[in-house]
Amino acid sequence: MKKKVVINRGNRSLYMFIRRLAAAISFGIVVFIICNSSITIKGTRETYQYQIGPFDEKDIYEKSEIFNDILRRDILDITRMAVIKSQMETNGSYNGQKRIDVVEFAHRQEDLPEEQSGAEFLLDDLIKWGNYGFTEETVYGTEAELNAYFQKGSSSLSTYVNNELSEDAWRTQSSVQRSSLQNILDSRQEETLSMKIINEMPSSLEEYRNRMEALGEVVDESEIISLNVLVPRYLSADGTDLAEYASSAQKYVELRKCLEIASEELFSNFQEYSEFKNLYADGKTNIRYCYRMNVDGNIEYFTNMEGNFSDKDLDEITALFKEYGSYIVYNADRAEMDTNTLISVDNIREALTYYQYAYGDNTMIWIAVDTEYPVADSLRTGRDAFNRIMPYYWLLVSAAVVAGLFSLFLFSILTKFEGRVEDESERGFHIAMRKGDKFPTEPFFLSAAVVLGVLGGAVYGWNRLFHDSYRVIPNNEIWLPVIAGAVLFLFDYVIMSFYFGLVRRIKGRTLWKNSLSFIAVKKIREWIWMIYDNSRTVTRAVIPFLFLMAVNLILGSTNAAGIIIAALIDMAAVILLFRERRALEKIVEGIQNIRGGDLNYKISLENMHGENRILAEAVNGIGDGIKSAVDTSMKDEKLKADLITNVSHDIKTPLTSIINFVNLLKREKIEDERIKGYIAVLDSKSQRLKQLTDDLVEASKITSGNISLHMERINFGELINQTTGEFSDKLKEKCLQVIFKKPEKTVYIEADSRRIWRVVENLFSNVYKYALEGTRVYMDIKIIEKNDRQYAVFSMKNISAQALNIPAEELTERFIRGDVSRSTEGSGLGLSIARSLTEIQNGKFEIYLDGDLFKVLLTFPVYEEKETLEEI
Amino acid sequence: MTNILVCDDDREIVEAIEIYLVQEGYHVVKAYDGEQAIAALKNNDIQLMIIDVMMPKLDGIHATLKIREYSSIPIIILSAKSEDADKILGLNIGADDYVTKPFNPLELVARVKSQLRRYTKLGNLNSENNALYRAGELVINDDTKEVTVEGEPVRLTPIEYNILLLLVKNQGRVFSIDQIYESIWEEEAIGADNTVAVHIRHIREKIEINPKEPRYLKVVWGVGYKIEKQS
Repeated sequence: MKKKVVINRGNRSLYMFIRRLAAAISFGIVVFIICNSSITIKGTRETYQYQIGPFDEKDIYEKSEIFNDILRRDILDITRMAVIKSQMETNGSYNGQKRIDVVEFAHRQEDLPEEQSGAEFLLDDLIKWGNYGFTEETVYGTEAELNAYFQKGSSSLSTYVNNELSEDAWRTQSSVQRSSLQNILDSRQEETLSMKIINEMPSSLEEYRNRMEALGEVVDESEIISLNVLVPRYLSADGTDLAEYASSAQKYVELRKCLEIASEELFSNFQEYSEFKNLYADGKTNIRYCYRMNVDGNIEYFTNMEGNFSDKDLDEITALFKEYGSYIVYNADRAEMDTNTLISVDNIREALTYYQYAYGDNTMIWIAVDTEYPVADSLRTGRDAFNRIMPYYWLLVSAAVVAGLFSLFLFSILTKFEGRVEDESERGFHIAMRKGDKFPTEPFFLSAAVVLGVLGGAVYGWNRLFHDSYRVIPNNEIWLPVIAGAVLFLFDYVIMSFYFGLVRRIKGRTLWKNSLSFIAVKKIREWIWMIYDNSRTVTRAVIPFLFLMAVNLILGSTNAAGIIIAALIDMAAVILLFRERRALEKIVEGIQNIRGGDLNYKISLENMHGENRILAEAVNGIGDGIKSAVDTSMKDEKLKADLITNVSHDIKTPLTSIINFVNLLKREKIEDERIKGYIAVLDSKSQRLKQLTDDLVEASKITSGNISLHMERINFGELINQTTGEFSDKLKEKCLQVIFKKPEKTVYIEADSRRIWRVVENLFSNVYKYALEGTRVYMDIKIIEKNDRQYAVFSMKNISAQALNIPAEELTERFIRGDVSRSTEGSGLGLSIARSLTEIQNGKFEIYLDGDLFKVLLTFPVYEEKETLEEI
Repeated sequence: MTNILVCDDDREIVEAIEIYLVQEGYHVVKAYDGEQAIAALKNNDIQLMIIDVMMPKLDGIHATLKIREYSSIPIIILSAKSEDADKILGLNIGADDYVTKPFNPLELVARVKSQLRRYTKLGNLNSENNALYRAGELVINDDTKEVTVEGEPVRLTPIEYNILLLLVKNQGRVFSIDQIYESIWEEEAIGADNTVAVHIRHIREKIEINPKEPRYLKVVWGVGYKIEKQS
């Protein structure tokens, strides 16, 4: 059984769906747990969130973290409320006429010795003042001047206008009432000490200075102080202005600050009091409490239970509270606590710390929770949530974990098999790319990042929305986990598309190859190679040049030493260039030598580097190659020549006999004219055969190069004259008149005398054989200049006896004669031999035909004295 | 009776040569390879030998070399090899003349005669006469204006005679056409044409066995003419 190496498309989709579903379920459960293990409860000052601890005992709510957390918060609130009540209430109800010593109140939390200024204000007035705010006026004067006001003693004014205020009256006052009240106050204000100070003392430094100037007094400016005087809105409980209580300006400032603090705090507390005084009232909470406090020296009880506790014995109260399921009994005096909750002494102390002043030594606190939870309060909410989640908590967690692990397992399986496609290879599969995988890597990652960013942003945004509004969302709703699961299911689809795309790319090793960077790198590399390959000049010349220029610029702009170094580098570069150039010239010289035929020439490789060396070696190699090719061809030609020579030798021997016996026949006295004619034919033909074999040998020898030349100075004109002399009889025989136009100056050429004689002899022989009888033969020698060299040109013109019906070039080809049908003597090799001989002597042999005019041009370089004779 | 040894592996050639030589009154001893030739030379009184080069057993060159170890008779090499190098080789190893095949039988006979004359009459010439100029077998008696080649008188025109005399007097020196013209005609050679060359040609035809391959009056092509200095 072959091991399974691939997952087919259908199964893959199925596994993917299951995996996704498992992940969504796991996530949904997690969300469900999170949602249901936290509750939010509106407290006195803010909304609190409580978390159900996963390790709580699952069936006892009162032992759970959440119960104790809620209770702890409640105790804090109750404690605070008790304090506020102690401030606001007398005998269980609000008392606006309560007299508050502002200094004492402001310093209530300090453990300083109690200081009583006697500046007592009514609670109502302070709350209202705190509500309205404070108006201060700044005055200037020396300390002495200002103190003078406060030493005058109490003002006689003591009229107190009692503006009756019920508990909430200040809030419900109409604007009319308010303004009438204000008018009354305003009218009285004028008469207060505070107003007197404000009115009398200058309100700015400038004004003070002007006043002093007017009085003619000089005051040291450093002694001038400023004093903020509170515009009196209310008088004290005794109908006295605040300023009246101060004995100095400094004391006044303290008093003023105390009043302001007390006023503001009382206003704040009053707001809280009026809002929450009934929060923990009987019937609104499952908590029962009783605070035994010391308020202004009296023992007072704050409780939400029926009955008068002041009569009861402490133990009696304790017993009463212990009847409830959960209870706390705290004795501040003994710093001991009796409870069946998880609330610690420290928790209570913490709650009391801030209000330590209020809870003196005699303080007792009883707190109990009716564990029947008859009232729908925070504790009951907590209990409901607890009971809802706790029995299933670990089950849910386990489910989430199992689903998650299952999803992860499938994930790893899918990852392993991703991209595999079955084939016949040894591994059994190969990695196949999908259509989308051709998408370049960078945009792929970018789009993945964008999509993930959008998804993340959506989750974050939704979470924020959820976070802001979860106070109103009941915690037991099921739709949130479902939505979360569904969203994950959808997100997963997108994320996994990218993930598996990435996996395929990694497996298929296309992550880098398919990236834009790779393409860019490849392109750049190709480009660089292209430059390197195609324009080596660019890399070899431009880059060093740029480098040199950069060096010059950088070094040249530094200092003298830099300039010298730059100059040295430049010199080195010039030397390099010079050497390069010289090497190149040597190579060119070598090439020209080889081209000129000196195949043995070798370029010296000394001091050759880089490409020049390669080039030089190549040129040497070419020379060798040509040499060997030429040698081979020469060898072939020589073999051919040898063959021809040997064959001709073999022909010559029987030919000798023929000639000899023909000659003997000729000597016989034969009367018969017919036989004589036959013998004449034999004679002529055997002679012709002789000529032919000689010419054949010579022609093959010349073309095979198997011939040695002795170049010497030849008087061209003399040669022609000599030849003409040699042919005089023959020319006369054909009645050919030779007209030779010699140059005025003697013309010397360089040639092998015997070979050039052969050439000229062949030309004359040609004339003898083929020229029309009785015509003139024109010859001349001219000097022409070509390419700074002088050439002697010999021309010979005659009229052909027969029409020349073939091209001129073919006349010099072997065995070609002017007229193929002609049967006069001649081997057909004459002109060919002449041409070959001319050419091996560096001459030029040309034939021109113009109708019956036959013209030969022989061109040889003029002999130059300086040249040494050389053998080829 | 003059005995001439003819040696060639081609029997017809030997036969033909024999006919010519017998007609001239010589006795011919025949041989068909180098060894036969040497044996024939030992067994007969031979005055001249004509020998082919390319032969079986012993070739002409080696035979000549062996013969030259003990004999100084004239040897004429007869060969189909017509190259300069072959001729030079043959003459250097001791041959007195070199005739290439196919040859003119009459020329061969003339050369045989010439060699025999030299061989038999050498040293008999009178060298007392001051007016006697010689170049090898070419002798000019300026007193009698007689010219003989190998003892045979030659008839020359006065100009031909003067030209030949000039060249013989200055053996080895090359005279250009102009120089010859100026000495003979005693006038400046302006536009000297082929007159001299024609005369030279005629002289050669009269004194040389084969004017194309002169032994005495040689043409230095493109330079002039000379009489080879005879050793």
